Amino acid sequence: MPYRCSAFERKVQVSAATAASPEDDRRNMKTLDCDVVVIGGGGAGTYAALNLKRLGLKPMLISKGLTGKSGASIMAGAVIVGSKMLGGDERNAAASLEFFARYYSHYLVDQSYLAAAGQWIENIFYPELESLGLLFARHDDGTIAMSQSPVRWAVAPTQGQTGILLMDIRRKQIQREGIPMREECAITSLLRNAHGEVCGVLAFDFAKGELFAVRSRAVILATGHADRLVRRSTGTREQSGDGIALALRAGAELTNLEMQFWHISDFANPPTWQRLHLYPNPLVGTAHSSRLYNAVGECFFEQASDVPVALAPYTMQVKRLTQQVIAGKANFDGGYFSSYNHIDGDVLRRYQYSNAAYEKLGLDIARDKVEARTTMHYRQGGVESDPHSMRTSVNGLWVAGGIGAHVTGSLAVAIYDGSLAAESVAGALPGNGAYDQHAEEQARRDAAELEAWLQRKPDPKHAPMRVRDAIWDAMGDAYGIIKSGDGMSRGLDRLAAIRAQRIPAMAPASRSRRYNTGWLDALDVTNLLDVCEVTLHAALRREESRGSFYRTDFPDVDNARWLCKNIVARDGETLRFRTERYPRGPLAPDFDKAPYFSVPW
Amino acid sequence: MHLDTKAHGPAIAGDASPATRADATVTLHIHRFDPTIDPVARFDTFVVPQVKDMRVIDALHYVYETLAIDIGYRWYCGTKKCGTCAVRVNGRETLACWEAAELEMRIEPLRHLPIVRDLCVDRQPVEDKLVALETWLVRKQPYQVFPEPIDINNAEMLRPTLDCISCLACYSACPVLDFNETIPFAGPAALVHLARVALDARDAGGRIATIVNEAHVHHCVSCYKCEEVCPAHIPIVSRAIEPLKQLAYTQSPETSRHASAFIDIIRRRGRIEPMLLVLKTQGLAALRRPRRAFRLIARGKVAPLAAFLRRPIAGIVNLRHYFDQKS
Repeated sequence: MPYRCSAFERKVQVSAATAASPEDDRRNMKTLDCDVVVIGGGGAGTYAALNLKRLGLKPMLISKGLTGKSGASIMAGAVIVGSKMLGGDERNAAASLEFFARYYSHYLVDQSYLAAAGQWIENIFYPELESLGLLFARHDDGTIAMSQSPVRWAVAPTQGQTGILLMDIRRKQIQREGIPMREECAITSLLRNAHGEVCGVLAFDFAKGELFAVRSRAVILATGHADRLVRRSTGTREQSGDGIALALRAGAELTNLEMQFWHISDFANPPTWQRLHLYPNPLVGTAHSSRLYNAVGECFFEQASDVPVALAPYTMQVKRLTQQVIAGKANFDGGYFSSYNHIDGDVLRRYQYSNAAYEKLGLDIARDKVEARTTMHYRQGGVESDPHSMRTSVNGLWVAGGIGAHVTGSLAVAIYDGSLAAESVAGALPGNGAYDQHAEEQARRDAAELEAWLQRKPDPKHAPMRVRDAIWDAMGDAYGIIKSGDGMSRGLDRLAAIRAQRIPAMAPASRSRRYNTGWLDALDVTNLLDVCEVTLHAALRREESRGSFYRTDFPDVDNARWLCKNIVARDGETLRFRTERYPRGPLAPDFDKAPYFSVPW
Repeated sequence: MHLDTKAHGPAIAGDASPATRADATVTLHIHRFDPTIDPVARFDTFVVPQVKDMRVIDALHYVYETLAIDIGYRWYCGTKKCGTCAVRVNGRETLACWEAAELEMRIEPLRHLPIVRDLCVDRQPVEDKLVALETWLVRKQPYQVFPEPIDINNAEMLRPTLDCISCLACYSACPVLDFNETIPFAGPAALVHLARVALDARDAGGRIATIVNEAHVHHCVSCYKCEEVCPAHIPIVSRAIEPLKQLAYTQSPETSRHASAFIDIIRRRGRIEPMLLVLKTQGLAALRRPRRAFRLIARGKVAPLAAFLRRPIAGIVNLRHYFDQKS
């Protein structure tokens, strides 16, 4: 398949007048050293860095946002309770496995990974967090407050706030351990030596307007799983698919990029609250969950009665809403409502964080309905990696957390990945390759190209945010909840036109070097374009419907053909695809092929 | 400060636009300043369409994304979780993603922190304090087993401090930090994080010196400005700062000079005498700034004669009796 490589890699035309000489580059660009660069300051990245330090290595944590204050980890409303902890029994254990394998992964998961992660959550995760001081919500008698559903979770200290406090602790741990931490630094490229091994990174400190290279013997990518591929996304500001783009350009294999979660019950208004979730999940301290109502007031979804085992019933919500939209009783962009008004107000106010948002809009959580709207959520797929070491197909490159493509959307499991990656890196490091002239040249070339953006004549018409808008429009049409082969092909045509016409003219709106997010956006847009294209190509390849992935031209869940990884890698100018079956686990679907809406997961 | 105001976008309608009108607009006057190239700050004016339930940050996003003006402003989550988008709106500290957009807004960066560019500040001074004050739990006993038995009342007491998202609105609003060149003071945000661990029954203690000598908790004047602006509605003074003062005084009255002096003056006079308080707290160091002392006298803030000669209030005997009972 012909495939144009990234504008950023093919590069902006660097004119002789503006290109810095190699001497200038060396003078201007610092080079730092460490054993392992960890990219990403969320749950997975911070835990990987802490474990590397514990294992006697010198990690450096580089975060595009602020460590522990950006990315998906702060969004964690609750954390899943290990199967047999706190009075859980075999029934709870079975429900947990069923939830992760069926409702969260639609059987696209290695179940041996789930078993290992479950053991870790039970034995390591909760004790570690409580030992660091995290206070879990408790009832008056001192017992831990949990959801009463078959799959259980706990919160610290109210539902909706868990990730904030956990990540505050992690941020302080990193500083306490003296781990070098660079924040508001975007990685422009993974540097590779003559053998193709990843041996460092080039980083862009957009707060200061400086570039620096880091020499290392391994890199752990922990950039999360919310890529803001469309205008409404649960991804935080900095999440523009960098991890996928970096891995793609380094030649790594990517898996199931088309498998995408959606939220359908985030606030429709104000626009910025597109990431504020009206939880459909079981409510802590009650046997209830929220309800969704269509435009004519009919309840069309309630987790507690419709899918009791689905702890986070996003896929089932998506299916039910899609049916409402097809029936003309709701729109994807609003006209339906979420409500907690069948639940006791005192309980809601005690355990629910959303209450503050209701109050802010002059509403009462125990009485009022709120208009909801769809928001693109986490990517289920990501970088192909071994489930027990997090090693990728490229030497020197590991992944951890949401980008790792094993199970997405669970902070506990993301953190588990951080420990796996750290252990594996520590074991492999002595034999790992070194930074060489090849990597050095790549760093210089990429630095010159980033500088070239800023040398262009500022022009608001061609500002990167305008180009991103065009990409979001194209993706909004091609890659919504209802997809088709024709629609996605048209989307690829539009993206190709943007690449050909808009990217060459793109210029940041000012030449400031300080916190010039317009300059950063130029980098982000080139990454976003790469990620959107490869995602659409992967989506075209999967000729079935599954989970939240619904194609009108292939409306069946096809276990006979597609109970497998849909793997893609870039090979020069082309994309190379292959499929791979998952190892057989205890749970398996009981049919070969069935219509999408008839499948209850 | 020099103000160079220029307008972008459509002109405002003659009458103030009611929120219900389809063509209603919001006007922003945004602080612009790049310390590497601009000699002075200026304000740029933009008019943007109003939308339903619009927050301050929605208006900033419109300027950035649709008008393609690359204002330097920081935000990550947009939903009151990351605490990075706080700015001042019409003089008041505001979490931009949380508070409703006003029809006309003068938007400025937080105070007391270096400006990176436009509305974006350097958070490092506060981060340094959080680390210097060791705002993490130091356990008395090695951790045993999950779930550990906890003191429910203690956890409930800590509860408000857990709501802090480190947005630094309070740090900007605190008037004591106006004098951060001369008065050492950790500021409200760092004190909330210190209270979170120092008041925790599981903590190993040993924080008295930190509370008094490093955080300088007694420099809080209990003006409640921090509480007024806190988007998480944390009772910062009553549930973090006052309990820290109390902890320091209870465990080590001799190091809490301000509290000891205050109590002693009330016991002797039945009222506070500001000048005695300054002398007892700072000793002769207070005389190192004669100009300030003179200004305070001239404005009647301290009264030297009264300080030494004023008689105790009527009923002082009863008051002393009360003190004796307490002690």
